[in-house]
Amino acid sequence: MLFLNLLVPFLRAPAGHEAPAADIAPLARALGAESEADYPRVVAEALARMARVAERYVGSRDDAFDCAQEAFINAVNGYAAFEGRAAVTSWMHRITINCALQHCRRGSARREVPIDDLLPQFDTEGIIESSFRVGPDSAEEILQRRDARATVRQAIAQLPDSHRLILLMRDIDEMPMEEVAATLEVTVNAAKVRLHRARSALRRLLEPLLAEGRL
Amino acid sequence: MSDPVVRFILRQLRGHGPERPLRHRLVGLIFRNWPGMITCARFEQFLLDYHEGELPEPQRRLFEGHLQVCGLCRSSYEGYRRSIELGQRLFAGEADGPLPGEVPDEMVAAVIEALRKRE
Repeated sequence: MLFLNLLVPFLRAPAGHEAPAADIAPLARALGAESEADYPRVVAEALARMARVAERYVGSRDDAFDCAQEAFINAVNGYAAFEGRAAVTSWMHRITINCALQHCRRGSARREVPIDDLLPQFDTEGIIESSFRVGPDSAEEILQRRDARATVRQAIAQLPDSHRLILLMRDIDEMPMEEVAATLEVTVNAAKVRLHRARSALRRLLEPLLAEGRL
Repeated sequence: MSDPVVRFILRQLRGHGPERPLRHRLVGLIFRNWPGMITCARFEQFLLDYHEGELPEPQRRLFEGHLQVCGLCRSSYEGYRRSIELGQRLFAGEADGPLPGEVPDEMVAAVIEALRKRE
């Protein structure tokens, strides 16, 4: 929890360069605090919520808490500009995703593994060559199986970051395609192509799980 | 079938080399030339927009037509749909990740303290 150790000095403005005061009170009130005594409760709830979001992007719990703290501070600092067009929790959700994406970019030493082998193949006639096995169980039934949750989590983690992040943003966090594309600084079409490849690769990685229970 | 149609089919089948199985060549011939049919490769290109509900009507009809006649693409699409759903259900609600009680007290205190110092 590196961020925790760095937090206090980081927030102290250097002498002569006083940052505008960022008051926790308005955000805390928006999160349900009625008095200062409620601050620990609403902050803990917000950090847990934000860490849950960050964890799927950054992978580890410690890094997720670091992102959550950073995102919470950003939310307090930016609350004056919050226009209230979305719920405050949705707005904080977006801030958390941005912090998590920055964290992923900073640690971008992760090797990008090609996923071409996981994509469907077609012959010269345009006919699909790869078959796909899928059983009768619904997604909900599959997730009730032993170790299924870990298997799905591992399959997503196996995707290269360039594909994993877009899949999380669109399919899990349900960001509009235009926002996903803008965040990644690519065109909507390029984002769609990448998302489709990510989903197709994930489908292949999950095939053993999906095929189980097949009649 | 009339002679020109038969001649066309035979020409197509002969023209694609012996390496492709006859079934593939025949299916490819039908998917590429039959009105209202598309190939599996074209189906794959339409898949994302179809799933997102953004495929225009004419292409949607072609996509759904192919879905009815091609078992391989039907399984492939079902896998695509269910993989997305698995991810969504996995992360839905609070089943995964830390709960408020798991946030260390000292972390909460540090955040509040840090913000108070700026007021």
